[in-house]
Amino acid sequence: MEFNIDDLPVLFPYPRIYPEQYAYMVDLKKTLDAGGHCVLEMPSGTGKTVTLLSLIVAYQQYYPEHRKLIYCSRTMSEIEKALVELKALMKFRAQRLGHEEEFRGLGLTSRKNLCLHPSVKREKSGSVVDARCRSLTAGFVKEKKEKGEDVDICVYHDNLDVLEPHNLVPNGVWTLDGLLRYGEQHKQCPYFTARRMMQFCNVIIYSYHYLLDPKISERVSKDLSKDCIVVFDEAHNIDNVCIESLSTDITEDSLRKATRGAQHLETKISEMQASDQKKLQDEYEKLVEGLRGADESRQEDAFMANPALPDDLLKEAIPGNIRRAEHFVAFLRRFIEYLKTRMKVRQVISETPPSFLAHLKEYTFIEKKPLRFCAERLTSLVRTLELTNIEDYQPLQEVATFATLVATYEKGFLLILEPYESDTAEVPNPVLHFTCLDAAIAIKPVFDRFSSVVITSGTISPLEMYPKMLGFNTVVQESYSMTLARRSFLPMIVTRGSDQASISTSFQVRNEPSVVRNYGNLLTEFARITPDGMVVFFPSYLYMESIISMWQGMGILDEVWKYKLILVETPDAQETSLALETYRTACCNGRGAVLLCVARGKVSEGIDFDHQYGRTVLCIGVPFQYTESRILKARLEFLRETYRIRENDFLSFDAMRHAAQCLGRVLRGKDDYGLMVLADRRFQKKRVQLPKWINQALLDTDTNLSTDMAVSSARRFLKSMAQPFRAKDQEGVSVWSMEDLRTHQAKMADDQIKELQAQRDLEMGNTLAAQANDARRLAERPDSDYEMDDDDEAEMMALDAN
Amino acid sequence: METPQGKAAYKKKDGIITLTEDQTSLIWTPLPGSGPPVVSLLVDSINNLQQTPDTSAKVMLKVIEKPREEGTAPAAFLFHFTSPTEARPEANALKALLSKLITEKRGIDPPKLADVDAPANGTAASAAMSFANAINAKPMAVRWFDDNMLKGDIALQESLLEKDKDLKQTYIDALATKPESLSDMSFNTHFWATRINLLRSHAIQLNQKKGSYNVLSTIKPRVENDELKLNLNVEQVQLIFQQHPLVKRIYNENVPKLSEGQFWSQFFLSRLYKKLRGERVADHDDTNPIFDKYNETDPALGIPRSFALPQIPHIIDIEANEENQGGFKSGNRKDVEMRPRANIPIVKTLNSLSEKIMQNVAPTDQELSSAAANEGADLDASNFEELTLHDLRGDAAQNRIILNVKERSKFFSNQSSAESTEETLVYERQVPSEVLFEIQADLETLDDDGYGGIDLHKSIGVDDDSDSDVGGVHKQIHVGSRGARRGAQDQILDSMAKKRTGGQHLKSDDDDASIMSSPMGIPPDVAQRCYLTNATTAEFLKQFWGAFLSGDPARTQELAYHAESLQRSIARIDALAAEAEKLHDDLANRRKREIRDHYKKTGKKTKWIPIGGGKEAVLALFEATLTSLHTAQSLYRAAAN
Repeated sequence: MEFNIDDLPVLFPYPRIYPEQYAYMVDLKKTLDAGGHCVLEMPSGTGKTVTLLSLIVAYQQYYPEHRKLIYCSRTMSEIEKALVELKALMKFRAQRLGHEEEFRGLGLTSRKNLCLHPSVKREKSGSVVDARCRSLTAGFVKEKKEKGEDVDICVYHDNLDVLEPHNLVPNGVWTLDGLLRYGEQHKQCPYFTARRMMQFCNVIIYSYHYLLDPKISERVSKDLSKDCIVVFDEAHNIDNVCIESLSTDITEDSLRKATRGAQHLETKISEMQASDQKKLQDEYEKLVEGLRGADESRQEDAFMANPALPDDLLKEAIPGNIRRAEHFVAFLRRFIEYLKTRMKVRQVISETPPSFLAHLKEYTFIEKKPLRFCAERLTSLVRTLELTNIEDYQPLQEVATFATLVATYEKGFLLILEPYESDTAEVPNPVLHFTCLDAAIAIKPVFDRFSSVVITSGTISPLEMYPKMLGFNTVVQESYSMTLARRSFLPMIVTRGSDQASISTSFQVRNEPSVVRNYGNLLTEFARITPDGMVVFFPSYLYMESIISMWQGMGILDEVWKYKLILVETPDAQETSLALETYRTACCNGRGAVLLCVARGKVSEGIDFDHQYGRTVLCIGVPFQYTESRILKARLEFLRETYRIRENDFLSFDAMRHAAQCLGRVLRGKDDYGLMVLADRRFQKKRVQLPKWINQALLDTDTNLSTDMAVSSARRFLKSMAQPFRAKDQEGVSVWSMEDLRTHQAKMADDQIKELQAQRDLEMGNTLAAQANDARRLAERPDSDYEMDDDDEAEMMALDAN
Repeated sequence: METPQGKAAYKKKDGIITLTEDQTSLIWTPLPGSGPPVVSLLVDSINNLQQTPDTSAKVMLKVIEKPREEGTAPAAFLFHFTSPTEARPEANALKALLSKLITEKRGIDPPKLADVDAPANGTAASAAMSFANAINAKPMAVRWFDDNMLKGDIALQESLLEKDKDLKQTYIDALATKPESLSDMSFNTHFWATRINLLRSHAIQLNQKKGSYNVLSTIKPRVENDELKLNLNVEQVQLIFQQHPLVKRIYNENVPKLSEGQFWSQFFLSRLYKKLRGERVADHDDTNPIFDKYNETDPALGIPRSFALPQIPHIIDIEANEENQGGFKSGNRKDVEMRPRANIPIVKTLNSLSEKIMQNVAPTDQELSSAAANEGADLDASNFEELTLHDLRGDAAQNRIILNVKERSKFFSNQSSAESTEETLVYERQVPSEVLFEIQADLETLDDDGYGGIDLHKSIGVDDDSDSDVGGVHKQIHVGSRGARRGAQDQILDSMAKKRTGGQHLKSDDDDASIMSSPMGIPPDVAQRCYLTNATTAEFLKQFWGAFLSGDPARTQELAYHAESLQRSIARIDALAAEAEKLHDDLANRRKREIRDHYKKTGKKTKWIPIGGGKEAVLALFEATLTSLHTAQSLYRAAAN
């Protein structure tokens, strides 16, 4: 359908629209017009992505600025889905407009997912793929090849050089799959195609990290202009991504490997000193002059990028004591040895970066400044030495990253040394965490740089938490409720088992046999009544594993086997994919299956369980984070002191956003239906923290159920869902046709006019004007009517045009 | 007979197509036809033949070769007959000979086969290629989707009417009010033509089968008086073998030595059983020498899984999601609660069992991606189909049945002559009552060696004057031959006799249950084991034939293994027989002693009642099974040499 929002003509690829979709578009446009940021919560499964894309593409194409859209999502599944929707949207637009628009949309994911090189793509680990790719595609490799030396290259990459640099791939929207296929046909690298075409795209869809992680964004997203529209979809977890991108760990193992890497470097340096002294000298001279500019920026793919944010980089030459290659390696080795001695301590240490640096200086005379340049210096050295087997130097790279970060940031960061893996462990396995506590640090450059940032998700309540944590101001903050013609989902809170004993996964009771048995009965009962697929979420891996073992011992799984197949998320991603595929097959085939997974795990992110893939979602326990974690404790303390967010508020908010996220997985469209079961005594009090649309659907009578009450209520619900439900029943209520939308728009226009009039009345509040006012109102009436007609007329014309 | 040949173009080059002298291969030589053949196909390797219908202007013959390797697409050769005048006859002659050769090779009795030439079908001329000769019949599974099949399936219709009373009433009413001119048959067709969907859903309903389930979770062995009691039925044993090949192997290696019952009771107490169920093995669990020599690292224990996945679709690819961080893994380690321990056996077992159970179902997503891999853009389309919001997509396609009155001309008699085809003209000339009379006459003369009637005997090839049983050379037995008929008669009489002897040892007041529990006087527990042994043997036989008939050279090794297990099966039966014999002897001796004692005590002679059971009885019970085992083995040996 085709309609106007103010002056903007929007093409929406469906003949109908949900009311919340329209409201979402209106607010989105308001934000873009104002050039500000917004936080929008739109119920899961109401077509958020297509709404967003329709409006923004319309906006891009209509206004002369043609602002680029940067759409960030979390997982590759989400990216692919968004690309597919975008492709369908553009197809629809072409049909309606009668011509293909000059438009390019591309997605980017890591090399591992886009590689076509026959041997590199088979590597199991993503970082190995990266390293091997770099050693095949680095600039000097090509130079060597041209000189006639026998070096390995990647045909797929080198083929790109013969193409026009701004036209590596034809116009249109390319899904990741499509790009892979195109790359295979034309023997060109999909990864570099996407990366180099980034500047020539109207829409870019990629993962958060490409914008938030300085190690990546510096290279990939540097050239994007300021007026880009940035969208973070599924953003309920964005603060964690921010924190992750500036945190790192050092282990004893990585230090050992780093030492070896440093030794390798030394040999390489002495080799080069023997054979090609000039190169090292050149490098030294460049460093003296502080020349870092030209040729470096062209290196799209150096060994590593600086892990610190662009604003925090020092714009000066590399300090003298690490300019010479051999000096730098010696410096690195000294630092590694220091870290090794720190690791020997057998008690937990938590300190701030300044205190760490002071201690470091005291013992090794290593200054802060050269430490800050570690990452950059290492990159330069690796390039000078023309190293090809880069993966050997990865641990060294980790150490350099750590060094740069610890020397750059003082506030909002903490160093924690944990000598033992857990409180009960006997064998030490020390880890030095460098942890970022403040999510606002990583995202600040994004807010500074781009004028419109949209943060949106199906479950992002409470909305005010995000501006607070991430440090920004919004133009619009809105949570939409879900208009429904029938209750298409049934949220329930189960607080007691069939024996009326309360159930909870709180630490004290969660392993008690009676609680485990009650949870088991709940699972069995719902497995019995649920058609097709059922998804169960546990608060953690550890608990899931122990409860499954206990259920097996109690014979509960044998009961579940009677009704469904059982599949479990495992630590191995490939195995889990396979399990997921089996699960989906069993759901389609009618056999039915239960999928057991973890609320913060791999499956809960980016995989949908709509329609038959999930008729019941069972959330066992409140998915709290592990509160004994020292990193979490440090963060809580930071939040309290800096942003005045109470510990319990944050913990509870964090748990509920994940619970809500799990619940939202089961809906897609208003003809879908599903049961949402929250099984924990503690959910009762946390109800208000659920997103508005779930909370509204949760009846008071359903908030304190025992297992058998929940089952009978669920039965009734499923029976009612089995009744025929015609599209007509929804019309005008939860789905709008063109006429409904027009009525709504007219009403909104009317309301607005009335509001304006009231305002004016207020302004003209003096008694003298009363009469004149009446006259004006009379005069205005026909005017406003005329305006409305005009609007309608424009629409009619637009309709006719099709 | 002269070998036919024809001028034919292959890949746009003119040439001559013919058969070799010995009629074993089809060859094509480019013109002038003197050089060595460019295309040479063994007649044996031809899978199918297709020819353009006679009405088509172009004459082409398509020869489809059997796939040379498992999994590759069959190669097809298209010959275009180019002779300006003789193209059709040449092609027909060649095709007739080829199909004759092929059918002969496949061992089908050629004279009894229906005419292989497809009739020239005028109406089907629109199809460029029609199946000239369907050597490979289509599997019947697709018949739910064939409207004509459904319309013709009277049994299915009746069962649906039985089920749906309202529909039945409608049917009866409609039948009663139908116009005289409409025959029952065509009424039927018309009636069902608008209700195909009902028929289809009914057919699918009837054919729905319950899927397999996790069998070990349903068996609950109980311990009574220090003894393990369990009820295993045949189906469960088969499922265990299917889901846990290792158990099958152990069974095969050990069972003649160990009795069936012992095997199973030991199995349910073993560590292996616990491992297969995914339970943790405690140190104090007894180890069983038979079952527990396989530890977890044994590849036989792990269920083989296909890790060579073609490609997991991106929208559910979790591995790719994990790699979606731009190449740099940053962030701190997960806390202890979120770090999986990875050594939980139950988790792996649950997944692999579910995968095993779903193994025979085509994966939803895989199918989708592999189908789309060929067509390219379709994958996005199918992904979109999954993502689209169905209720926003406007009016659903109208789901009503369009009343499509065929042969409308019937209602407008004045137009009929113009449109009537040749076929209808034939029918027009026929008087229904006369046709009916003729058919009835045919039916009445069935039992005569009909003159003009339908000769059922002849249709299956019965020839009473045949002297095939006297003749020295034994021809292949066909269905109606004397030998075959005698065989059938013998078999029926034989089985009747056996049935009688089976029951003869029972007293008249015995009920059916005891006949079941101890047939031919075999003691119940032995009989129970006989049943189980028979079931397992049948399972082995099934697998043997599966491998044997596949003709796949890659499975030779496997076949040898199956053949060996057949040998073991015989041994098992013999062991059972021996045991039964022993029991029988014991019993007989005891009886004798009793009689003797009785005689000594009282001086009276008691009449000796023969006791059933024993080796003879067991072997008799297994006779059919043994025969099939021997047949399988002899065939295997013949094939192996």
